[in-house]
Amino acid sequence: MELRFLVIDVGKITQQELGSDLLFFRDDGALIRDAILPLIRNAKEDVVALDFEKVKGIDFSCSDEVIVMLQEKVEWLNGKGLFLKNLSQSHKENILSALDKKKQAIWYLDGDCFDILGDKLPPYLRELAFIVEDKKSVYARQLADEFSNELSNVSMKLGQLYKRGLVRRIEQRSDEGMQFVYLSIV
Amino acid sequence: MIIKVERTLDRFNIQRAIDQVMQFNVEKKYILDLSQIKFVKPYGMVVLLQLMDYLSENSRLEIIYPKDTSVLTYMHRAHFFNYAERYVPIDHWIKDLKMLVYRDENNQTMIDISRIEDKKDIRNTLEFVNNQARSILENELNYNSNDVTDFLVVLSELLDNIPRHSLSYGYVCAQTYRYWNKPGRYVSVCISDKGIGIRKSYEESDYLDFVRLTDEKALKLAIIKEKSSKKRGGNGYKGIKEKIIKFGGTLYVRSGTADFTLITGEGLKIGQQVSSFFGTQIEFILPQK
Repeated sequence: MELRFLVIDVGKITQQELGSDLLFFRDDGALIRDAILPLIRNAKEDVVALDFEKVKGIDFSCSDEVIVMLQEKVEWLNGKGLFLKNLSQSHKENILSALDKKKQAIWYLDGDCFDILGDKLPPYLRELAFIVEDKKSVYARQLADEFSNELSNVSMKLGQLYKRGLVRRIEQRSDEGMQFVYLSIV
Repeated sequence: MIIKVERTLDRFNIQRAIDQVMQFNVEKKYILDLSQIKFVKPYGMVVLLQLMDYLSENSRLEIIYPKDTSVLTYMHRAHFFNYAERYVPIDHWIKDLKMLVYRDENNQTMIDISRIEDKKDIRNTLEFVNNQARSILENELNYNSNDVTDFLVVLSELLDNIPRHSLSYGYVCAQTYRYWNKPGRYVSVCISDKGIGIRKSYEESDYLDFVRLTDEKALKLAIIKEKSSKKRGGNGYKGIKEKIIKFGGTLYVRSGTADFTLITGEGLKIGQQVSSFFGTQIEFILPQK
């Protein structure tokens, strides 16, 4: 199934709000985040790509205010999932520095493939994120049965992925009552 | 009191000048003897301005100018005397050097001494480096586009600390040099502020509960533990250290009586200075690629 997503041109917004293609300074990062947030929340699509093609540079403080904070506060996103695209080597390094400080991570488009940016994400969560990415839609009991794991353990890990903004989550009625269905962002 | 600055106006010799001043009670008059200076570095010039600011607050200040004309014209070209005029009267013949300076297009400073008071000043400095000084980084240091962006990022993070943490003004200056003992070039950047210093930034924080810290502990918190005095932060020094190591450079930070040094390949250390000085002084050096 083809991924449908809204693209937010971060460079264009930076130019409009700050008059520059340099996304520097913590308080400017907060300003840009506040400009982007309603676009994310009100998107018709469930997934939003933050496009950095026109951002010449982003510093560590802005990376923290814009990207890390959005991943930490998934409750702000109105159920949407985020990924990054058109990252230069400099963008990747600086965003990674900010993500690692808070042990956060985010999906990004690396050429034709998706990968997770974030070296401090525990390996078991990284592995689980790619399982969800492969299956596109999972629920805890399904994975518990498939991998012979305890349901509570799998639920907890999927919940951790959701809180880190690496999967989306919706509630669905099943024979056993309401349950969470975890959806791949990419 | 006569404060003599030795042959090289650099970090070590300006520190000796500071030690001379700070170890004694305030005098009515100070004479800054710059006559023997033969070579000037950004750190020396910038911190000399801060020292002059300090001395002129409560005392009369005079200068004995460098005898070496090339040193004089270099300092003039770097706007040193433009700012020094705030603290000490500058002789007319120094201002007349302007005619000589502008005819010489060689050896431009990469970033002339610039006063930083607010974000607008920082943006102007970054835009200058991004647009005009970029060619110096590319041609003299073999930096590519990503490298120049990295340089801008380190500069922006350090400059933003001035309005964000120091609660005062500062100066920035940069120059490229040839190594004296090996082939190749490097860029030396100095950022210095007249602010409250790192220790007081923590002690006065609304978000942390430090009643009393030493300057050494404050530097460790800021640079090694990467803990911010604000509600959210600490990303700056983490990222700056990563970039310095990536380039194979060095970082020096001084605040109060303590200083921090990172030399790629040799690790990092916190040390003690002889005397305290206000604000925070930073020097980073990046080699060519």
